[in-house]
Amino acid sequence: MRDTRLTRLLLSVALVASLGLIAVDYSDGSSSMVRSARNAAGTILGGAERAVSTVTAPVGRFFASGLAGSGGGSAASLRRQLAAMRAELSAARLSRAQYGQLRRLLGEAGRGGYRVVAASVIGYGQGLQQTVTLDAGSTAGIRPQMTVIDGDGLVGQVIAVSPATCTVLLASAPSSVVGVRLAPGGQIGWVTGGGRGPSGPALLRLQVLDPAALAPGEQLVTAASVRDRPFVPGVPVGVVVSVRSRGAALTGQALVRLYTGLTALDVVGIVIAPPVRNPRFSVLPPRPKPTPTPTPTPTPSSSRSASPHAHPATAAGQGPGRHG
Amino acid sequence: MARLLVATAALAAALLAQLTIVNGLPLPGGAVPDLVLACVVATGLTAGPRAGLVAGFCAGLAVDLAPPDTGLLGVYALAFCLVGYLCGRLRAVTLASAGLAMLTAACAMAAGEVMVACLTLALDTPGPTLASVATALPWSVLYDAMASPVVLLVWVRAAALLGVSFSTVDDTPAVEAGGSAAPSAVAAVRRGTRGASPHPAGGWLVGDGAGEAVAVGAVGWLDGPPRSRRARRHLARLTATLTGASPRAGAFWVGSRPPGLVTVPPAAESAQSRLARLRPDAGTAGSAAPAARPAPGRPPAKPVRLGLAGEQRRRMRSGRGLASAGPRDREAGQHGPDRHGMRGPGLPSIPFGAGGQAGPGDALWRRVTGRSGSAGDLPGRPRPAGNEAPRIAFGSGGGLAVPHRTSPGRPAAPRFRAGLARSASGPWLARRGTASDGTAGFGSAAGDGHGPGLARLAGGVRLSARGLRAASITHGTASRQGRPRRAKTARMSSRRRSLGWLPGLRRAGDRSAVWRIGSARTGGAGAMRARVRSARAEGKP
Repeated sequence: MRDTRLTRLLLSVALVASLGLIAVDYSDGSSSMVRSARNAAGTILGGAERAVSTVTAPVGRFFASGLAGSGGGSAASLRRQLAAMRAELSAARLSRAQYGQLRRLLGEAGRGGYRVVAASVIGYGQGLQQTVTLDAGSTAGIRPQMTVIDGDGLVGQVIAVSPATCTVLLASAPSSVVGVRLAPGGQIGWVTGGGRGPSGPALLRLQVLDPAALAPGEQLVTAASVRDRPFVPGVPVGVVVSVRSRGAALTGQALVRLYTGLTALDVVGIVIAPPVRNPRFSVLPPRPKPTPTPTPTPTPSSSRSASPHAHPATAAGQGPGRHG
Repeated sequence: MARLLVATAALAAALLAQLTIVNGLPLPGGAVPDLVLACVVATGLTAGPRAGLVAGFCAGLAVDLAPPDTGLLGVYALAFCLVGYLCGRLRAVTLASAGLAMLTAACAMAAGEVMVACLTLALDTPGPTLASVATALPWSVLYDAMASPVVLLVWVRAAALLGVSFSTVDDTPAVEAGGSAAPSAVAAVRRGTRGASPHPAGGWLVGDGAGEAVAVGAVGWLDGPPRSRRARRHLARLTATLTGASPRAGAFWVGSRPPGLVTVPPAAESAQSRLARLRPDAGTAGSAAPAARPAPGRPPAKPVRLGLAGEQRRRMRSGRGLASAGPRDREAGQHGPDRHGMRGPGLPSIPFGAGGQAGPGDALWRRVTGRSGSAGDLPGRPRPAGNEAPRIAFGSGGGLAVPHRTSPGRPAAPRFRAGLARSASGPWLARRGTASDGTAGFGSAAGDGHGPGLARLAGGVRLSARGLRAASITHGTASRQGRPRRAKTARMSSRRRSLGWLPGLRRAGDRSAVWRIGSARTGGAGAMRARVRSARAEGKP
């Protein structure tokens, strides 16, 4: 195929078209043209993703569970993980893991009084985007700006819905801001996503209006949004890892690690109805005991018992264990 | 069609695999390879710019629109279509070597990633931060570099199985058939490269198109197709220089070669299409004698006549009478003015390579013309007085017949338009005829006047041992009469006129540097137009 005048013409048409699309989407993100195009593509490509992921999800889940735990340190833990992976080789075991996640999700929803629609992840965002696709759409009652949770805590919020799929903006995305309350005292702050880190999502940034209330190990739940959108109250968000105290800052800043791993998302729930009364801090896992070590970074283990890890990097790499 | 379907299916599969599996892989570094971009790059590298452009745009738009909402709509379409187009332009690297192709693919993917990251950073305001981009980008480039060779290899093998031609001859505008260069140049290039080495490179490609690696790929192929007439001429000249072929019959290269260009020696079988070159040192200046040493191995060169417009004008002004010295001159006298619109002999012509070896050609000419002065004498011979054609014999030919002049003592006028023979059946075919039937040579005599009132005809005379056999070929007469040219006007500038099609800006001519002065009343342009119109009216019935 030669580089002819027609090719140049096609090139200019393509450039103009893409620049025009960028301009339209930049100026008005919710214009009807863009929305209808995204809806159509969501119907077609979302269905295809759904079909593909029903085939490939067990395989991907297997690899994801294997790779997510590979950041572990000691040989003993590696041996344990190897045994766990061997045990998970059978499909029955995999489906049982899924079942366990679902049960934990429903247990959490029951504790908080949320009505959830269970869905599973069928697609992941391209490049640096922190979005996932779920296999539940507007036909299942999903609307934009609904809270998405899993068995461990907050996942994100729904930002786009097509008939059969919906797109979730993860809480770790840089464009995601979640209003939170600190666990014991109820101080108000907000958590901003940190994007993708070298291993899993980076730590989130917490800003609190009262700097004195910050301490490592503090737990966070979502604060109530207006009309419970996009976040219903009481969902566990994360735990404060380290406090960055600046002398003259008006707000206290800290780094927060999410309860949810986000690297191995599988079964999640979309909250379609907020609780009748605010669950406050009742959904939170038991608070880990403070440790006497100089850099305490307590993390809840999979059994939700207080088992603080001494090494923060290891804890950050592993996240809350999901396949124990 | 099969290729289109396979490519579409492969792109769709890559997109779905990317969105459902690859993006969710928790690889170290927090980045993943981009299979869709790898497929776009492979499409461009195997199928050319247009396919790469279209594939990149469609795949990028699909990535933009696919359900996990990825920022602004159109970012990936913009980046991917540019990458696909550039990869198509760099398609020649697939012929060079597999390693170079894979390096190119990796670099193109890195460029695509950087483009996407920059666009996202610049436009997607609440999007990824600079720090996260800075940490993730090297990792994604690394994973892309690991994934691209695999994808490219699979893609190239599949394309070769489907019969995709990897010939860059088709990509190069310099050797476009019917384009900037004549088909003869293309043929010469293909022949030359095939003869040189059947598979110079690209052995990793399965298809057999690798043998057609073009040697002139460096000529302007990154500039794209030539747009203006000047660019086309320039490209044709470069092509002629590189391939050893003439872009046009009779054209040749005068002056030095452009710097940095290496001449490709023409193949042995295309020795006849060698450039006609001036050999000023091959003869004795001012005399009719060629060099004393003959070049035995060289075939008789093509005669190239040189003429100057000033000389022609001077001759027209002087209006010399007809001097009938030869049979053809006598014939011209019978027919009136010769083809230059004047009475008398035509322009003096200088045969290049027309030699004066005392051979059959001389004898023939002597017999034909019936003149005492031979056309080509050895330097030692005494020159006959009068009616002798002072010639500059460039090179030594095999005793070609040369035209003669009837007015002695006038210096020969070199003419830098390569002959009047513009048609294919001029000296080009005559030459073949002489080669086949063993005649002594040929000459494109400019002094023979035929066809009364015909301006600028191609003339060719073929001489054989049995005598003057073929008359001149008055080719181009019909075409000139049937299609009267526009009146020539002055050209204000040599720039390209993009708006020339607008009626207000259109100007006639643009081929001549002669000012058109005056109006119809004073016998200027209007009169010329009227003449053209009347000629057309006469030609119609």
